[in-house]
Amino acid sequence: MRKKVLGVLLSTAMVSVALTGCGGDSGSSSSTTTGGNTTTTDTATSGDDAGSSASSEVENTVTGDASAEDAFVVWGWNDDIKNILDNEYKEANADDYARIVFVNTGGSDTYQTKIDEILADSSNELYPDVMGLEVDYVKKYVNSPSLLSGSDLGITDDDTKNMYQYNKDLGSDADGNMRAFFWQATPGCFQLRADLAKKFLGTTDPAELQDKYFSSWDKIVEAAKKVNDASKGKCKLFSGYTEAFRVFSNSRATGWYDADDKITIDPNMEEYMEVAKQLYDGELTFNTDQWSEDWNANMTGDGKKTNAAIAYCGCPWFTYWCLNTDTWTGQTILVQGPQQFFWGGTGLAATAECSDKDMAGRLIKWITCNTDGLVAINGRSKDFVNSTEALALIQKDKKASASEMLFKGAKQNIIEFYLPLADSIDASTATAEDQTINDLWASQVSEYAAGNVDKDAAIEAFKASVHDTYDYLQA
Amino acid sequence: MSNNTQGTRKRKTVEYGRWGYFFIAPFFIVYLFFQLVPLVTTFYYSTLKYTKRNLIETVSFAGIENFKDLLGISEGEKAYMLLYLGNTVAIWLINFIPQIIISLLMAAWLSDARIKLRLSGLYKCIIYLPSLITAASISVLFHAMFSAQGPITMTLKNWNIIPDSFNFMRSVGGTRGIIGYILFWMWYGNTSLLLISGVLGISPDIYEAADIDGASSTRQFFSITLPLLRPILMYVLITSLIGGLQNYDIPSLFNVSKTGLIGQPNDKSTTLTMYIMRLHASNDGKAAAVSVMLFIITLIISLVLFNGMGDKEAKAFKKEQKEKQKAAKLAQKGGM
Repeated sequence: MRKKVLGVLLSTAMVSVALTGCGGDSGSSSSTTTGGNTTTTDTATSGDDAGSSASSEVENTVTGDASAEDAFVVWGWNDDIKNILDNEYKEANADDYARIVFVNTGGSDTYQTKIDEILADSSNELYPDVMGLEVDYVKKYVNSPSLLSGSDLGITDDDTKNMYQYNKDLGSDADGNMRAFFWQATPGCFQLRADLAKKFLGTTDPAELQDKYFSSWDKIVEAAKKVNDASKGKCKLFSGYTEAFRVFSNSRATGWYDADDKITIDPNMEEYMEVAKQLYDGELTFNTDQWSEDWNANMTGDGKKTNAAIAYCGCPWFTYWCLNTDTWTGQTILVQGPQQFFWGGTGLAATAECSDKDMAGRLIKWITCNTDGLVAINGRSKDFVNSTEALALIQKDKKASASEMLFKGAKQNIIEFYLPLADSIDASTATAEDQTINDLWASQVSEYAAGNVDKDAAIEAFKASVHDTYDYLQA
Repeated sequence: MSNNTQGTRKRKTVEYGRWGYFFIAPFFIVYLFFQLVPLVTTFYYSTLKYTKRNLIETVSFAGIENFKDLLGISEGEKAYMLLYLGNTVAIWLINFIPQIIISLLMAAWLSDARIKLRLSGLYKCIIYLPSLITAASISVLFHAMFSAQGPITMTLKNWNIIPDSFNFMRSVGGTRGIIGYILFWMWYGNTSLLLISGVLGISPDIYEAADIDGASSTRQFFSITLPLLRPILMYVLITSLIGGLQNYDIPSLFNVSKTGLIGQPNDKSTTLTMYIMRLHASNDGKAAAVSVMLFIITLIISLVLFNGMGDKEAKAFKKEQKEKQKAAKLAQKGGM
């Protein structure tokens, strides 16, 4: 009998280990050449048998020769930083530019996993010298020992004096040392498609749209009903109720947890649940999540035969990054919405084991502090740059501040529209864990909206899942 | 002199046997270092508490705290593990029940000498094909087809098969059903082939005898094929169950939240291994504890199946033999 038990034990162990091994294989490296000197490799080379997580399925795109002696590696989750390096930065700093190797991880959701892995491995040739950090997790890195401070890099208070204060706060650690530097400010608004707004809301005048349809959430829900009825469901005001999430979450008074690490639910977030439920119950949106395929598809629909959405939650980068479709070009109207909020932003930071601090300092300074550089960046993308001085210069130049993205009939100007909104942004509610917590919150809200759970149960489940993920946070 | 010849002779005979050990050594060395050692250390890790915050990690000894947390015994802890075990088993059942039925049917048809299906070789190839594709790509493909505005969802809505408001990705049954279906579709070919080889291993004499006795093919299937397939069925069941408990790639890419950790909707398609990966990001100790629990669960289920589904007739026969021996002994004693 004992022999039999031992046999079962060993064979179970072997089969289970063997099966885990199988799973791990799919995550191992592969490489393809996509033209020029661009190679695609997977960084999940760790011995982790569970390395085939969703994260490692998206491959990194490496541009440049990382094995070069003086390679300077920059990491980002998309090509936003790369576009700046390839255009404005290259023109002004050709020598430095030639050394740059850019790693695009192909998505923000898995960026932290990949960055954490490579930060622990400073001998890797792809170890970042400079990396991009999104607002949802920038706090995690500025409070870690992995980043150099502005004083290490030779970036002084004088250099950053034109930056918006909220961005400076986001980039600073608990002691006030600035470690991440932002080149853009990100005041939020709603962006509407003029042709659909004309058809289903009856006007393209931004002031009227704001007043009649976007000045409160009740009015927004009414507008959503109106659009839904008028289009027989083919066109909706929003693609999904998640368009409202950033409006509520980035105008909160309290973050996801307080100073004692106790999980808190701001009244804004409860209001968001109610709005989500109203929109869901009335079938007033297509129930897409932000960044999903269906969400993207609704940008290109015509609202007659194919599904389309009139409004998206947006901000300056959203216009050039997401709405650059034929349907939106020359059709975008900016409307402020019921409350003032911000959305996103990318900080640049140099790592502790950076191979060339001088260059890291030069690069970050040029992209985030140099007025001429910022004006040039705006010239290409129409981004709302993080420098009051540069913005003033751009505003003076009527040609520079015009954007072909905007709907001509609305007579709007990007800089004029955003300037007053940017002044009062408060990002003090951002926490190191926002990205994951937002995600946990979204799951519960969708259950509540669909009517599967009541509000208290959803909040309780949310707190439990946050605590389960980060056990230093208490319900 | 005599000593010397004896020595060489001895060496000559021993040398052959030694090669066998050399040849199997690589497997055991690799197994020891890359599988057995990690397996054992996992038990050790499961007693530690890892706290990662802002990339700073602290490790402390936790004893059985991790296990208590997982089972929801400690205050303020929710028993996520049991929840996810339930999800995992549910998805496995959705996949396994149709899989074993269809595979048995396939095996019976494709190996039946009387039907003599044409092109059965080709068909065997075709049903095996899905398991050659990477699970990840299939998962992503199915997600695209069944998403809210995906082609299949839209078609089903146009044909009024499902209501307009239905969304596979928001329905527990829809999501689990599709994951189960993917698993079924990928593996029924493999299972069919295993069962076919099992059926072919049964002596044709028995079927011939049954034919002469006038047994119908249904009768033959239930009275000959099924009982004699039991060892293979047992193998299929156990490997499928172990694979099912470790189900990871398909659910983790199918209908998950943005960071890929929570199986939508309402956490109902999160499997145990997805939970391990989720904990791996924050607390490796707890992740190890889930792995250990998974190991123990697998072990228990395997033991129960081995004992419960062993050859009952053989057991009964052995028992009978023993009793006969006993009786014989008694008779002998009595005779004395």
